Amino acid sequence: MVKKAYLLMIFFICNVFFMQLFGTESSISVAVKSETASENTPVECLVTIIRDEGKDIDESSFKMNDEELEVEFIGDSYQSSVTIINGLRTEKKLVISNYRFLIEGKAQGTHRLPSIKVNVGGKRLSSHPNMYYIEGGVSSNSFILEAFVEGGEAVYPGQKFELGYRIYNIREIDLTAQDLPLLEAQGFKRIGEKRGVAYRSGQYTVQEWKQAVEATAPGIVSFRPSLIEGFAYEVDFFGRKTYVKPRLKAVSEAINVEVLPFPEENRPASFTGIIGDYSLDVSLLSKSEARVGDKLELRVEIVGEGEFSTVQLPNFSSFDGFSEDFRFGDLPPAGEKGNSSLIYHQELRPLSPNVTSIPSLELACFNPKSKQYYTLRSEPITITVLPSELPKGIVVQEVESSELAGTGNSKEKFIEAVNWRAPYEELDAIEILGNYRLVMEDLEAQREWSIAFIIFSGLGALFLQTGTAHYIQKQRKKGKRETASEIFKKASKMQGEEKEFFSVLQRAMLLKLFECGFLEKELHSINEVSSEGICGEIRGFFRALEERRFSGKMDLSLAEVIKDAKKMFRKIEKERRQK
Amino acid sequence: MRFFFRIVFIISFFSASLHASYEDSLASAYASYVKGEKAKTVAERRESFNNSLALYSEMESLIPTPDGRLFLNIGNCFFQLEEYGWAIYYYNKAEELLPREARIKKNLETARKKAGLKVEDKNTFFSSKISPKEKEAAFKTCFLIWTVLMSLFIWKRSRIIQRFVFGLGSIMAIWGLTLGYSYAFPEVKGIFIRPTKLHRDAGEQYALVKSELLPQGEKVQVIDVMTDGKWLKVSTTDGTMGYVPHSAIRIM
Repeated sequence: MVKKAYLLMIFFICNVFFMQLFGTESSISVAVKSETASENTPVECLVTIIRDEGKDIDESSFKMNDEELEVEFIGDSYQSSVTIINGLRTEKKLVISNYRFLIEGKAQGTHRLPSIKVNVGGKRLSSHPNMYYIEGGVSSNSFILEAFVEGGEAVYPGQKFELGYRIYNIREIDLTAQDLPLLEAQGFKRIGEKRGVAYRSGQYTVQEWKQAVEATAPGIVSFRPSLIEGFAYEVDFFGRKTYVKPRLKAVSEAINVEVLPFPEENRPASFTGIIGDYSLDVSLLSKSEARVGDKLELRVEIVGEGEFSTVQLPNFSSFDGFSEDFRFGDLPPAGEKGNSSLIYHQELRPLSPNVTSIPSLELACFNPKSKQYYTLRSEPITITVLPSELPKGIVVQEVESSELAGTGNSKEKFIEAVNWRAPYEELDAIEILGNYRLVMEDLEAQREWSIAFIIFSGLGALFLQTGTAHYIQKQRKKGKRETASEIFKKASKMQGEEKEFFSVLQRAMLLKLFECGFLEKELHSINEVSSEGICGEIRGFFRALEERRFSGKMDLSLAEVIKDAKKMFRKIEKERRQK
Repeated sequence: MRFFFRIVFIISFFSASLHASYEDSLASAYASYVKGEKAKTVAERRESFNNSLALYSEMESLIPTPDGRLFLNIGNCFFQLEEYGWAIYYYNKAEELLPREARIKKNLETARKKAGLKVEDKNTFFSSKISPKEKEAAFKTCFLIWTVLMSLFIWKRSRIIQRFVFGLGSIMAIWGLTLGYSYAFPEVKGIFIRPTKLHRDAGEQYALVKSELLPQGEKVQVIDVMTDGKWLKVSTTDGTMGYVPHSAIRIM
């Protein structure tokens, strides 16, 4: 029994021991990324905390040298582990939390990072102190940084210019650190994104970066010295980079940009900040003769060089001679920007027939080159304003002075117009004929055959008909057979052609015999014909003719032969009837 | 088969709905215009004519081949809003489609007078009184007649028919060539919708051809369009050539 108890106790102690051994303690480690750190630039440090899933990190408890340390959470990753001890399977899930923080820049040399402490799961963890080395960059003529200000030698509020850098390098460089405050352009209004361009200048490759800015307020804006650091590298045959030590460093001097205030001396009261060298042209777009209340349109063109963003058309009402005599459009005029000009269109309506001109327009400007104010003035534009007619039905009452008692007014007649509208609010008579009342049928397109379709169809039909007619004619000619009578007629006309005549005559006779049924088939030679009956007679006729022809005793004329042949023809016909 | 009928039904339903909405728009546009004519105040008048213009303009953009009467209605709206350049532009478009319509001629004359333009020389030539569509329809009819005569001639060779065919064929050939030429090389006209200056070259920085502004409503011949489309080379009625910004002109 006791032996059993001892064994149990040993087993329990071993389990506790092993549990302790393989159980997880939270841990913290810190790494300093000093390889890429530069002199006097903040150094990045990474904190890795390994803990059980159930244990939380108190982020507000990060301390270094007993001072609060601000960290940035990067992310969590997870790791599972399984342990089997004495048949007991235990699964644990570990959480690996990563944080980042920056420490202040140090000079070149070896430095010590103190312990970092944090509460994890209610327990205080502390990292080991770290030693790290800051390698200083080396200045070299092969790596130069130049800061510049273009167009900003003497700027005024509203003027635009550019801040930038030129980086000269002979070899390819991967930058490891950069501090370029001019591109941030704090103190100015940035215009668009920074622009970069690269080019060759002698043995250097130059990268140029510019940022357009606009000065907003007078004063001096200072930019601290700029810095870039990096390693030159070479690329081998396989495309791998080999970095060359030492790290190269390029620094540019601090720069101050002064924005000058507009001078107070001789400053016009109407000056609103327009900067540039301009000219003003004002022209009347509408007719110069108008009635009271009619719309006139002015074209105001400002041409020149300068900051057009500072140009605004002033409020016409503020100018002498405008507010009393004219009424302006409800909408402010919009400017149309040209290459080196700005054009406005302004509507105005004369209020009285006494108005004889559109007064001068004035624009106060400042020329930054001459540093002088100047005022642009347009010429007055002569106009003729005709009175508008009062509409009928206006009632004008005169109030007698006795009625003015107690009103504080003097004895002047008090004239009140009832139902009177200002001239520019009068409705013009309708001068044009009215609208058509339209319905959808009026607007739906009529279906029409296309002209090309009609032409091609028409020509196609004609072509088809021509072909058909030609074919029919050809077929007719092919099927048509000459009769014996027709051949005989043909022979009769052959008066001078003796040889042909006898051949055709023979063909006519043979065909006639065939047509009348005395021959079973068409024969081509008279010698094939039978010697009996009518066939024999015809044969005998032609034999006699041949004897006469070839004996040289041709004493018959062709006309007589034809006459005899006709007789034979009739005889054949007669025989046929008798048959 | 059922699926096919369903598709047909759905398409028909949507077409009918669209058709009905266009009808409503046209009716509303007309009602707005009439309301504008009867308005008692300037503000009410402007609002009504603006509403009418918006609806008519929408119809113009939706319909592929607008009618001349729609252009007249739009022109009237612009006239009532004192935009005489635009009014003249639309009246000209309407006149092109309906050359014998008296209402269009009258309104165009009034608008030109308002814009300070001289009375336009009336083209008394017969062809100016016929719209391009009518010319095309007449050509098609004549061609069909000629085809019938030619068919007769193929089957029945007759001297009289032969003479008709030859005579009509010659006329058709010349007419067809002139129609073809007018389609292939159309004369491009433009109308200024607002007064503008005539420059020597394509840009505001170039000198002016004449110091006076070209008035709104003036019709010019468009000779060329610059590559970026922002400037057009034009020739005025008196033969003066120059460049104007695209925003000041609309092409017919």
